[in-house]
Amino acid sequence: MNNELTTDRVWSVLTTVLDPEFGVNIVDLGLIYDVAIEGAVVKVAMTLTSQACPAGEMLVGGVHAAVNEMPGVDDVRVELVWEPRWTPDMLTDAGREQLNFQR
Amino acid sequence: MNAVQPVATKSIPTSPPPASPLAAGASVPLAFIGAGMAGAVLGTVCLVRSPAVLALPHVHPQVVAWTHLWLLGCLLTVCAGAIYQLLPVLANTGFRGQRLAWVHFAVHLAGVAAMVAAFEASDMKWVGIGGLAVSVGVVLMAHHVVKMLREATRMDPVLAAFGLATAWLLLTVMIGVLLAGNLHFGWWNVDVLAVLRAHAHMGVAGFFVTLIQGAMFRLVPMFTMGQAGALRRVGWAIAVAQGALIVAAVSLGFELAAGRLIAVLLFAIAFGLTALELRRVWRTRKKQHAEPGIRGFLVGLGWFVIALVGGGALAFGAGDWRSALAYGVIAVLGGVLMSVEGFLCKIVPFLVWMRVYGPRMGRQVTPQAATLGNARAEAGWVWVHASAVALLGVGAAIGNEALLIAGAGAFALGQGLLFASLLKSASHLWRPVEGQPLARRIFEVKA
Repeated sequence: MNNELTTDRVWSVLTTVLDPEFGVNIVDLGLIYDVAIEGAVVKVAMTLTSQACPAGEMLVGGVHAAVNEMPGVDDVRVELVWEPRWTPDMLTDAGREQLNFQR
Repeated sequence: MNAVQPVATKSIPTSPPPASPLAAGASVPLAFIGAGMAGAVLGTVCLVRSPAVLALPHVHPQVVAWTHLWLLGCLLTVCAGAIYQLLPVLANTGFRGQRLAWVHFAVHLAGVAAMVAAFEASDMKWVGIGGLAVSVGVVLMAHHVVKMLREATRMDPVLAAFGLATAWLLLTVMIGVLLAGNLHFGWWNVDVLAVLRAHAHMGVAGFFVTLIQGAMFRLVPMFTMGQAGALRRVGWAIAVAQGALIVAAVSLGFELAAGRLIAVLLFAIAFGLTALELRRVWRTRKKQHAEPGIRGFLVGLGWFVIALVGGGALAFGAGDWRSALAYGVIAVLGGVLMSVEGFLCKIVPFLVWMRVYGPRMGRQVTPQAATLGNARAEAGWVWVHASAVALLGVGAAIGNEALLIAGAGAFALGQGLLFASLLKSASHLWRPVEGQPLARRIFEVKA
């Protein structure tokens, strides 16, 4: 098995973290803004649907835990960012389909 | 992109940090909600055993005892749990002071038990003692609320509604204790019925309606992925409702007929503004399917509208004591109970999920919060409960025992369906689903 650490693989792993309320993964919800790899350190920039999201702490912890389990990862840094503010336009087509929401 | 808050590194603790929004790992709100639902079970058993009590005058000791069982034993207990859970999240302060919250829990339950039993026995001394215990609990909760509001990063009308609701609750329990003391010691010569009406409206409309009116503008968008209400319009709706409450409390307490009509008019304007803004929020929702809990909440709002029409008729002098009792049944069991239980269908699974599956997130496959309960049972609850309120309301209004018996049966069935779903959610606390490890699974799939 090829265990090379790539941003594509990190994005794939992040699709396993689901929002508990909507059941849509955080990538399709548009919560992940950026993934960068510096050596064995993975940096994830993410947001929440609102600053008062009650599951925010769990989502950040979930991102950290999921990426931390990946082979070749020594450190995970998750940054919570509020600019640009999350809007429903950030949902992917797959996310919209799961919510039965049309543009 | 403006990075503002580094929140996690390799050494992230697995347990929640001290300023976690989860009140004692969700155990404080879950304990309050569980105790409140136990109160609802007791209230339902009482109703099924003696539905004809709803054909008695609303000042009858048993009616007063039941009213306090539902309002304090069930609804206030549940709402206190919801406040301990929601306010730290909305105010972005985290929850501290679990010990005081547990003291509140203990004195509240002891006080409510004493009050309800004493009302049944018409023992005003013990009503006052129980009321004092409940008041101590309310003061402790108010201390939390004020602290969180002062620490809030920014104030908005929704947060203000939590503060205003708590202020109305404080006023309600203080007047209640003074009334009980006055009935026992005979301090003042006051029109007890008039003060009782003011006390009831301050409690039901002042606390519960203010709380529901504020919280809905955060909870409905949160659960439907809609846009939050425009703060200015929400603020106006809450402000007009507060004006109505003040006018209602004064005019009911001092028997001012013109004031009651003004209060009804102001309430109607406040309801209209609230409905308009809620409709705007609803139209922005991205989750198209309305879950039973949200539907139940909306039906509860419909009962509030019917109660307002009934209250208006009573303010114009129409109806008799039976109509007043029906008005109370519709406002409490229809409006407040249905709105609160509708939100419980969403809040309980979410709290259980946060406590049981939140720490496993990113490590294991975890179920969706909405799947923890039983959606079919909740959907059944919505319509069975709504039918039960209609039967009980009409039965109380015309004093028809057959309708009251049928209504009590339907009410018990509706509560049974709701409890079945909430218990299914709660069962994950002691019997969680063990999910497959996530990262390992994804690499197995890729290999």
